[in-house]
Amino acid sequence: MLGEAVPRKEDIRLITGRGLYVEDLQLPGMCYAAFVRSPYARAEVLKVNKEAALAVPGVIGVFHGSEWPELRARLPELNGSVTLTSPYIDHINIPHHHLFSDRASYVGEQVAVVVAESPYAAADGVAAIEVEYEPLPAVATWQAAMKLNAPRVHDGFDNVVAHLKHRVGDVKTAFAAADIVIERRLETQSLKCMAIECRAVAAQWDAATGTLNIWTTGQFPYMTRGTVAGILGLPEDQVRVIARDIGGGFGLKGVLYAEDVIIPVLAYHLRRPIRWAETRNEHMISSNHSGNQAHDVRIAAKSDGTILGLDLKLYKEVGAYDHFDMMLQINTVNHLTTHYKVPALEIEGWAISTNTPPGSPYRGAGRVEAVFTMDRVLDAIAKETGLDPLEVRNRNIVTPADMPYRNGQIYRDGVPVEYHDIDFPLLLSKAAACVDYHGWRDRQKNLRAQGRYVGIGIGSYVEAGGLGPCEGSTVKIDTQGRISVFVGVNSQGQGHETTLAQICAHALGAKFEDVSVFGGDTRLMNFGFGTGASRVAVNSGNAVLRATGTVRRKVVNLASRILGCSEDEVIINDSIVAVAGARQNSITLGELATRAVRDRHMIDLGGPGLNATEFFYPNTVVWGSGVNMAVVEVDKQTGAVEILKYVVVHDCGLPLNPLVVEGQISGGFAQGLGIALGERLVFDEDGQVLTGSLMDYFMPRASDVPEIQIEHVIFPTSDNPLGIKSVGESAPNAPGAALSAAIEDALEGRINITRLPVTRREILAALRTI
Amino acid sequence: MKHQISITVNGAPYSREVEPRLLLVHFLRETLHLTGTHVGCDTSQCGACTIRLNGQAVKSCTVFAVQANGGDVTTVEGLAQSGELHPIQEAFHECHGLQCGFCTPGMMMAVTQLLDRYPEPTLEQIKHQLDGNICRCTGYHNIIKAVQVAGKKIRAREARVGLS
Amino acid sequence: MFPAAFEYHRPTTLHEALALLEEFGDNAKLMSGGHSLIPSMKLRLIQPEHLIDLASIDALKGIRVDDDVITIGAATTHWEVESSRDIKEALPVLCEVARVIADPQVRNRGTMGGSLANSDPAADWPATIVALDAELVCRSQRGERVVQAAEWFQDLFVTALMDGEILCAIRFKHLPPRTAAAYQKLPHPASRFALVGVSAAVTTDESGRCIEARVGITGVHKHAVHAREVEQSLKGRPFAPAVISSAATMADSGLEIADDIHFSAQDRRELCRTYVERTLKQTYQRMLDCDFQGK
Repeated sequence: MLGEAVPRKEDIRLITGRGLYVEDLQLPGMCYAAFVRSPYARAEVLKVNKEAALAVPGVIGVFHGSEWPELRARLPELNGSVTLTSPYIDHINIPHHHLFSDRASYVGEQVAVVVAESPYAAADGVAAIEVEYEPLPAVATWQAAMKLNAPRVHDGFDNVVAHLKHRVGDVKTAFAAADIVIERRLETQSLKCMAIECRAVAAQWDAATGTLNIWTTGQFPYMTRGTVAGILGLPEDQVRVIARDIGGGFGLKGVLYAEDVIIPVLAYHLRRPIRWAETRNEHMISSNHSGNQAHDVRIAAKSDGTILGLDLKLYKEVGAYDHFDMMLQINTVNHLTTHYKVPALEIEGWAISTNTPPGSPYRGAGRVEAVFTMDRVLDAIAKETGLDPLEVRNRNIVTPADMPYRNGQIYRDGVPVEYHDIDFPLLLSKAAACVDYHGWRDRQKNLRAQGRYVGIGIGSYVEAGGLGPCEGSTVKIDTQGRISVFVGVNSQGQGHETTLAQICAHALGAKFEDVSVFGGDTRLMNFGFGTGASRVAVNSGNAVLRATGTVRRKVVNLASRILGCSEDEVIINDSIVAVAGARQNSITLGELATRAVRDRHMIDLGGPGLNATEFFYPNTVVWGSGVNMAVVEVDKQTGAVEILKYVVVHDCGLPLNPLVVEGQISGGFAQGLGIALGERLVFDEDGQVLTGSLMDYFMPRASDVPEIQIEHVIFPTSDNPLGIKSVGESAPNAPGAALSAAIEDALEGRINITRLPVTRREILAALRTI
Repeated sequence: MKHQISITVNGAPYSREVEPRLLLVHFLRETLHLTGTHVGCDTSQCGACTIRLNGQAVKSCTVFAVQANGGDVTTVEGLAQSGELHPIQEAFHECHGLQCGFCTPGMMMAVTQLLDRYPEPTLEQIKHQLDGNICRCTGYHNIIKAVQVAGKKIRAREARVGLS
Repeated sequence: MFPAAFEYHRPTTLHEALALLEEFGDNAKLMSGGHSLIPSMKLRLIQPEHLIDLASIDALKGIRVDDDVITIGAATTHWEVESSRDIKEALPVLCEVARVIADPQVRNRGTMGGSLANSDPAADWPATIVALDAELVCRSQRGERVVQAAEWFQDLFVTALMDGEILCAIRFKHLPPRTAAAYQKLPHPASRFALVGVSAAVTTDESGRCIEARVGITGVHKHAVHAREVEQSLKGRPFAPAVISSAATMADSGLEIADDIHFSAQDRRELCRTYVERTLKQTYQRMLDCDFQGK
C-alpha cells in the first residue's frame, strides 16, 4: 500500500462537482460582501461617503472601521505562524497592519466594505460609494524606496524594515587568493501564485451552539481561529475554522488577510452569514505578491574552476506590510549553495517596504532565487575558465564522502544545516545521461553550423522541507470498522486524503477503502500548524504513522486476549485481525472496536475505544534534492524558445504515492517554466499593476508545457520513521536556472542572462549581435 | 425589468425570473445551486466555468442567463449517469489529472467537446483544444494523458454498444 | 465581477433591431457573441442602459457561397467558420484564421461581425478582411451601405460603422486562379490575441510572376492595415523567396509602433517583417504544392 500509485480518494467528489469550496457555501439568510479598494498606492482616506451606497437596493450596510473597534484591530505581527526568527537577523522594525485605517499604503488596499443581499447589489454599492482621498507620494520599487529622502511607506518607520548578516569562513582571504573574480546583479521579478480559485471567506454566527463558523481558503486555519477569537474576545473553542476543499494555494493563501477577519467580525455583529469571494481583478491588485528580489553577488574562484568564496548582498521587496520578517531571504541564504562547496561566504540582506501589496511566499519561497544565483555563478565560472559547465559543477560538488556535510549555515529553525543520505554526483550524472548531455554538446556545433541555436542548461536544487514545530494526528476505529484519521492540516490539492490514508492502512493492516482522512477543521484537532513549507508529508505523515502505531498496539493487545494468543501471534491484514499460523481464529476491526467500547481492560490502554492521538516533532528540516537539465532551441528570427528535452532527476526519499509525487513535479515544473519564461507582475512607477488580469499575466497553458522526463533517485532518510523527504516545493526551483542557462548557451553566451523571467526582448537584442 | 427564462439543465427543465445582468454561471451556481461550475478569472481566460450550452463548450461567466433562454445546458453534475462515472471522469481519476480540482469541472466539460470533435485526437489537437482552460496544479501532463485514456474508453464503450 | 443593471432586448428581425437602435441611440449597445462586450461590462468599463442581443436574428447568420461571392452573416461564430465545409472548399484561409482565434470556447460564441465591429487592434479577423478586400454590409433604417475593408478600420476601436447602423454581413470574392493565401500569428502569451498577425493572398501568372499581392497586418498598428509597400514591391516580380525577403523588409513602413511590456518598438518592427516574410513564404510553398490555401 505504502509507495503504491493508488488513485486519489478525494477525486470522486471533485470530479462530480460535489467539492465544497468556500464560494460554494450557501446558507439561509446569507448576505454578500464587496470591498472598496484604494486606487492610490499611498493616500490619506479623508472621507467615506456612504449615503449613495446605502440607497442602493439590496445594500444592508457600509463599514469602514469606525463602526466597531474590532474593525480597527491589528493583524498579528508574524502572519506566517511557522516563521521562526533566525539568528541571522540583526534588525527588525515592522509597521503594524490594521484591518481598516485612514491610510492606504498600496493600490487595492481595503478602504470600506459593503454588505448586501446579493453579490450584484454589493458590487452596485461599491460603485456608488464616494471616497475622498489625498494622494501622497509613493514608492513602487525597492530601489526607489532605498533612495535618500525617498517617501516613507509608513510614517515613523524606515523603508528598510529588517536586515540580516551571516558569515562562513574567511571571505577576504578567499578573494585575495582568487584567480578569478566575477560580479553579477541577478534579479527575479515579482510573481502571483495564481491558484485558479481566488481567495474567499464566509462566516456565520451559529446562535444554537454559540459558535462562530468560518470557512476559509487559507492554508493556516488555526492562525485564523486564534486571531479572530482574540479580536472578538471569544474563547478559541467558540470559533470553528473550516478549510475543506481549496482550489490551490502555493503560498499566497498562507497568510492571514484583513478580509479573513473583517468578514467574521461583520457576521458576528450583524448576526447574518456573510460570504465574500475575491474577483480575479481584486486578486491581481490586492492579494499578496512574491516581491522583486535582487542579488549583488561576487565570486572568488581558482583558474581550475573551484569556488573559494562568495559575497552576496540581497535586496528584497516586501511590499507595504512585511508579514514574514526575513523568512524568504533566509530561505534563499539557507539554500544558496545547493549541491556545491562554498568554503567562504558572506551575506548581507535587506527587507525593503514599498507601496505595493504585502509580500508572501510563492511555492519555493526563496529557493528559486537561490538556485538561479548558484547555477548562474557556476555558469559564469565556466564561461570565464572555458571549462564545460558540467565539469565546473563536478569540481565543486559535495560528494557522498563529504557526508554528513555541514556548510556552516544555520537553518531558520536555529539548527545547523547538515546534508546526509544524499548523493549529489549521482543526481548530476544521471541527469546528464538522461538528457544525453555529451551527445547534445556534439550535435550543438553541427546545428549551429546549420544556423540553428541550441543550448543546454543545468539547474540543481536542494529543498529543506518538513519544517516543524510538529503536527499531530488522531486515528480511531469506529464500531463499523471504519477508520478516521484526523489531522491539523488542510489540503489545497496535495492529496492528503490519499497519501495519509495509505500510511494508516499500511501501518495498521487495514483496507485502504476503510480509511478516511479529515483535515482543515479546527474542531477535529486542537492543534495544527498548516500546509506550507513542504511540511505535511513529513510532519503529519509521521504523526499518522505514530498514532496508527499506538492504535495498532491497542488492537493487538485486545485481540490477543480475545483470540487467546500471544501478542506476537496477532496479524492484521485487510482489516481482519487474526492469529498467525494454522488456527482460523479471527475478528474484524469493527467487532474489536465494539468490544473496546465497554471492555474494562481498556483502562490499561488509555480508555474506551480504539483510538490514539500522537504528534511528530522533527529535529529539524529534511533535505530533498534534484537536478534539472534542459535543451532548448531559440528561433533566430523571433526569439521563440522551444524546449527540445527536459529532464528532472530528484530524490525525495521514499515516495508515499508515485502518482502524487510525479503530479507535484509536473505541476511544479510548469510553474517553474512560467517563472523562467514569462510570468511577472508589473507595476508602473505609481504602483499601479500593469498585468492586472489573465489577459496580461502569462500563465502556462497546455500548449506551452513540453514533455518532461522524471527520474526518481531514492535515498531514504534516517531523519524520520517514514524515511521521506519533502517534494512539494521542489519542482519550481530549478527550471529558471536550467532554462536561462540553456538560452544563454544557445545564444553563444553573447549575453549574461541575469534576470528571471528571460524576456523575448533580451533574446532578440542578443540575436541582433550574432 | 426581470425576464422569465426556461433552461434545461442536465436534462431537467427550470423556469426562473432573472435580472438580465445575471450571468449564466451565477444562475447555475446561486439560483439552481449547481456549484460544480466554478469562476476563476472573470475575463473568459481560465475556463473553470466551462459548460455545454446547446452542445457547445462555452464559458458561462461570459454569457448572460437570458441569452441561454430556451437552451439546453450540461454541467459537470450531469456527466455521471445513474451513479456511473463518465469515461472522462474515470480517466481524470485514474491518470491523476487533477490536484486541487478547481479547474477540473470546466476542464472536463471542455474535454467532452474535444472528444466529440476529435474522437482520436493527436497530441497537438489536445493541446490546441485545451487552450481555453488553465490549470495551475498539474502541469497538464496528466490531463493530456487523461484525454487520451478517456478517448480510448469512449471508443471502447461505443464498440461495445455497437456489438450489442 | 458583476455588471451594472441594464434592459435586455432580443429582437428577432433586423427591422426590430434597427428600431430599437434608433429608439435608444447612445444608451444602447449591440451584442453579438458578447465575448469582448461582456468582460468589459463585468469590469463596468461599459455600462449600457439597453443591451440589444442580435442572437435571434436569422438574417445575420449563416454562410452562403454563390458563384460570384461568399457571404458570411455577421453573427456567424468563429467556430461556424472554422468548421464550415463550404468555407473549407471555397475560401479555406478563413478556416485557418478562425482556428487560431482565442480558444475553442470563445470561438463557439464570438462572431466575425462582433469582432469587426469591435475592431480590437490585436484581433485576428481584421488582417484577413483587409488582405482579401472584403466588403462589409451595413444596414440602418436609411438603407444598406457597403464599406470596403480598407476603409473599415479607422482608429483604435473605431470603425466606419455609423450611428444607427448594424453590420450585417461580410462579403468575400472568390480568389482568382493561381492565388495562394495564408495566415500566421504570434499570439500574446496570456490573451492569445495577435502580437502580430499577417494575412497574405498572392496571385501569380502562369510564369510565376506576381500579378496581385495583398497583405494585411494586425496587432502592431492602432488598427489593421494593408502592407502597401510590400504589395507594390511584389507586384510584377517573380514570386520567389528572395523577392519575398526583400519585400518583407518594408512591412512596417508607415506603421505607428511603440514599446510594450513584451517587446521594444524595434522588436515589434522586426517581428512584423518576419511574420510578413514567413506568411508570404508559406503562400509561396502552397503554390509549389498546388495546395493554394492550405486545405
